[in-house]
Amino acid sequence: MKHVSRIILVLMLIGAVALMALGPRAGGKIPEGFTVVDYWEKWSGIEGQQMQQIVDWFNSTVGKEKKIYVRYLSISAVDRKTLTASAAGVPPDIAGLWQRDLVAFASRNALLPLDELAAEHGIGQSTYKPAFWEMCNYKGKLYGVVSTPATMGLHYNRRSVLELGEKFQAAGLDPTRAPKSIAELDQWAKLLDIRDDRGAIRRAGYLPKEPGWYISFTPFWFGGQLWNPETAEFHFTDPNTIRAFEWIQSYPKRLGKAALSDFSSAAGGFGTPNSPFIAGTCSMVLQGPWMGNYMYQLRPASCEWVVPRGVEMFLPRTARAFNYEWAAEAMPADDPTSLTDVTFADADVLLIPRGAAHPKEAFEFLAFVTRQDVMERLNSMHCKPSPLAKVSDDFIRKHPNPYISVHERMAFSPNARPQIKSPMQAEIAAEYELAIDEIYLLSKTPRQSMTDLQKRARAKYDAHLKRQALRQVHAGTASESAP
Amino acid sequence: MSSRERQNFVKGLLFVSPWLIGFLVFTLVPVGLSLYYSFCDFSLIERDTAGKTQAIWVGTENYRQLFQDREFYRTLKNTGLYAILSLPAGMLVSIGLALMLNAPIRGQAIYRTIIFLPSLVPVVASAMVWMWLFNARLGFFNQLLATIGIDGPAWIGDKKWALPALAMMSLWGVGNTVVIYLAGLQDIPRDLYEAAEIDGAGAIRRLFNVTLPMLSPVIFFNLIMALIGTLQVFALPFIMTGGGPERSTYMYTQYLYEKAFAYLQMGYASAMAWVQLLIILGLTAFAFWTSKRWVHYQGR
Repeated sequence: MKHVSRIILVLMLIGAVALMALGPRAGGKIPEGFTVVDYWEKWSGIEGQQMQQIVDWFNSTVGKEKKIYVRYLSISAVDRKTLTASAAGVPPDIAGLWQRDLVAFASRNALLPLDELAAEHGIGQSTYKPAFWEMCNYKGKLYGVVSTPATMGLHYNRRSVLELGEKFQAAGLDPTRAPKSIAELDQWAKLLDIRDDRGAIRRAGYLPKEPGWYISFTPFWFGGQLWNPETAEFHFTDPNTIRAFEWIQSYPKRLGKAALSDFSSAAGGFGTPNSPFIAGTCSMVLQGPWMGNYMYQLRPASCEWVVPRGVEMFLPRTARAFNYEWAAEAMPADDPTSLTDVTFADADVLLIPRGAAHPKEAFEFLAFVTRQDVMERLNSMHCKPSPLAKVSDDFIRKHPNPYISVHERMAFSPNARPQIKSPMQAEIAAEYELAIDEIYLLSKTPRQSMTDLQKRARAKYDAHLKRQALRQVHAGTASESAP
Repeated sequence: MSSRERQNFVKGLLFVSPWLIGFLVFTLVPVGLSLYYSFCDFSLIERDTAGKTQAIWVGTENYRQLFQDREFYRTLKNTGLYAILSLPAGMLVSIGLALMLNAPIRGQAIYRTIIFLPSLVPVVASAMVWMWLFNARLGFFNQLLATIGIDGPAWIGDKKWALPALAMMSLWGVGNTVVIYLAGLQDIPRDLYEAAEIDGAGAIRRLFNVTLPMLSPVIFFNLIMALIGTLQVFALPFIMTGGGPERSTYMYTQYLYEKAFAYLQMGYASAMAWVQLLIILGLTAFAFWTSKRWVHYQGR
């Protein structure tokens, strides 16, 4: 028995030694003498693989020439992990975060300003469309570059609309084009609604909370402003903002709170074939350009209404849209005469955290991604528009999203509005979400809810200012006492 | 201490050193730091002009702000309500199940396994299953209620029902507690039951005069553990409701977590953690104080 135990122990030891000697090595692919740039990114799955292609492209061209090797690591909760790594003083060289994180990190001095490095590479204001340049800057400094941008537009089920063509025409509506105003959108919604005998919603025309990701930006389409960075004031009680939420509340009032809850509880989550727009149970949604990919992956038939996709690519750009059962257009504004192509613009950004080991080398990769050909390849794969001011004809012609020109138009629009640029964004967003809940669940009137939100946001912002003042006093004391 | 004893002591220390170092580095030091940070304005990543992270001493400011914070009271109330609902329900159900599983019936081991199995299911997986059970249109509960003509609520989608629904779901994981009660039940001397029977005590009488008093140390242990667990509840509401609707299920620990990692106010979150610790300590001390009246230890 003792012998058997010893043999097992020896075998285990041999196995462990063999594993150590011959087992896999982290970074085994890294060529000798190269600077390794660690790049953490949120994307996994197909989007991750597509970004990996860009990284490989860099490593085999610019990286090879300049002896830089970018090591791509796809991780979940990348914002939280970058946060803790930054706190520990070992951040990645590049962090692929969301635009909202840029201000949160930059306002706390946790990002490297990139103005000088960008200037060296010829990257400046004219490189980007105005909305995207604006979101890379905070207090006059550049803190990141956009990797993939997005503009949100109205996606509607053309097939459902055309099937109701006569009803639309009888109501004085044109079913061959998108609604032109909020009032028209409401008319569309009512015509598209289907309810059963019990009043349950079988098909909804439009639901502000489906999927509701951008519901907080609704005031943009009513000419409302949420935050003024110059005066540091919130505008939640702005009459246009209140009007926007009165419009939102009109939906639960009209359709019934219980019916809405019943509908959403039976709906599948986003990115599943049972999600309402993809399944055809919600005819209009405010969504981003990625819908082109999702529709094709989850309901391919909706992208081959007339001819197979392979054939469609040879059709002229204008004719391609007819092959789709769905369409995209700018979400109509309340007053379409004064507000056109209004959109919420968002982006994924590449940032260099303060304390990164190789900032110069990291920026080489950022500059590579900002190159027009690279940017167009990446965003074509991700089914998104380009954040750059210059866009090639090929990008538009070969793009997998048939409505990419709509997104490009919205991205260039002066009414493309980004996220609130406040260091308190996350906290204010949580308060805002509560207010929207109160409005949508009919617990409060929009005016009550927005007035309460204004007070809460102001109090939180005042507390933030107080903390900042304390920090400044501390910094002053520290500098005074410094030798 | 003889040289042999000293040698043994050093060897012992060497053997426990991995745990000791881990405890010091990953528990004791962070706990100490969190106490310090609770008196600081500290955001984890905020850096000074030299690029160093900054924790600025603000005295009791975080605690002062905390006691003026509406969300602090809201989350405290929600967590308290959740504890009031789930704690007694959990104890009653687990004692009841343990009593049933202790009965000498055929297939006893199978029943015990069935009761224990849910506690092995990862919390995210069970949350997903329960989200469907609570589904307003297609969920099991509402389908069941519909068979008797009741139009069920939206459960976790309804601010009145969300918290009770979560408390109901917490019963899913009673398997662990049931096992502890079972061990306690099997430890009760048979002769006490025989003596009670000879004295003419029926089943109910035996339960209240023999089983529960003899089980009281185990009940007390489970009460303390459940108290700590329910007052720190995080994962279930975070996954299932995210604190909604209208923050009706927004719990203290979720608020603490968001303050630390979403709003980057680590100093404030540390103050919250210490207040939470004091509340739990206070309630535990209260439970210990009352235990003198109702916990009976054998041999005393």
